[in-house]
Amino acid sequence: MAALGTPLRTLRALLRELRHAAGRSYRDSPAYRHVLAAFRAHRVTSEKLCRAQQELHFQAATYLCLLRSVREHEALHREYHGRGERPPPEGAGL
Amino acid sequence: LWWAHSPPARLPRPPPADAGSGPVGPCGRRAYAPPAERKRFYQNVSISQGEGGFEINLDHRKLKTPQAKLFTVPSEALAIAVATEWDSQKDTIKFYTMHLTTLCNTALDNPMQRNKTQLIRAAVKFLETDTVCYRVEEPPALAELQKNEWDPVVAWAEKRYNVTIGSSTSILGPNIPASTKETFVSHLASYNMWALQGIEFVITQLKSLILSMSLIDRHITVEKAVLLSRLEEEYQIQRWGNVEWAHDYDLCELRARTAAGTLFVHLCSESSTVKHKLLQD
Repeated sequence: MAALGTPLRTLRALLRELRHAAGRSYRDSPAYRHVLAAFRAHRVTSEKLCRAQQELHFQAATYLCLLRSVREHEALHREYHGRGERPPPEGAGL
Repeated sequence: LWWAHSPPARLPRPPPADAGSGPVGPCGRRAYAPPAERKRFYQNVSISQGEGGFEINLDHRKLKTPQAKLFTVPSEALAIAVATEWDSQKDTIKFYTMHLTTLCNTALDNPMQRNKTQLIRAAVKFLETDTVCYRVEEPPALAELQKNEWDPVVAWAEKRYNVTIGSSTSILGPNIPASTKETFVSHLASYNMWALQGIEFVITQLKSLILSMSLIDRHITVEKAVLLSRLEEEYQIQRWGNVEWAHDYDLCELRARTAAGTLFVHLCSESSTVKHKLLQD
């Protein structure tokens, strides 16, 4: 099984990303509720080594990677690729 | 407009084909691709359960695919994740960041019209040019790095699937025995059509069947799989320096797509949460 760190750490980071994605009403968002419910149901925050828990943890870590990477990619896009081409008069004046 | 049930009158028509976006063929890929961005036109995103599975609602309108089919997914968790993609769009909808939505659209529309056999064949074909099997001889530092980082994952795959893979420095690549290919073909056949679309997607992103299987089997994380896929780039970056607007940009994009593909595969494979009717092969 992949080296993942503690489930609690993953859960916290994932909830943080969801808060970032959702905005004001993040606590009511389906994703936030679903993730919390899933972790509670499997008690992943404890140290038990059940296979279903490991699968859930891996899924959470993957989703965390997705949210984080999309956010970072978008930030880089805005910074470096967002401006588009200059119109010819502006380009000529450079 | 393909994603609204009844197109609202105030939304603009799509731009004409000669508006600078290039030739639009009759059934070419360009015709399938939605515009890169448009304004957010909905307030609320919600999920509902229909006959075929879970649906996404943008205000009162049901989301549809680019080919105007009803957007239905077999897994509630997947629907929630897709809804989150739509809800996290701010003023403009950035389709190029909505990887799960794109994967679902591909699974529903199957624009390349590939059947299960073709998908599996495309996936296993990658083994012949698998990144982790293709080794350099020079520079020695890179050859050493490839040996240290890639040998373990090849060994893992050989053990896990009871096959011979090996690696090669030849320009022709490794010589993969037919029995190895057959093993992977029959393993992939155990996945349903949706999961297979996801697997083939991950393989094309990572340029490696072995890294993809290692990821799908939860042997390595997405970050590790991407690192191993980009080993030579990482080596060059360490030698020559990092260029944020190119290197980090590519890295984040690859991570996002790979993570989306992996999550998609797992969510479409879980028997407890999946509506099997939708996943017919």
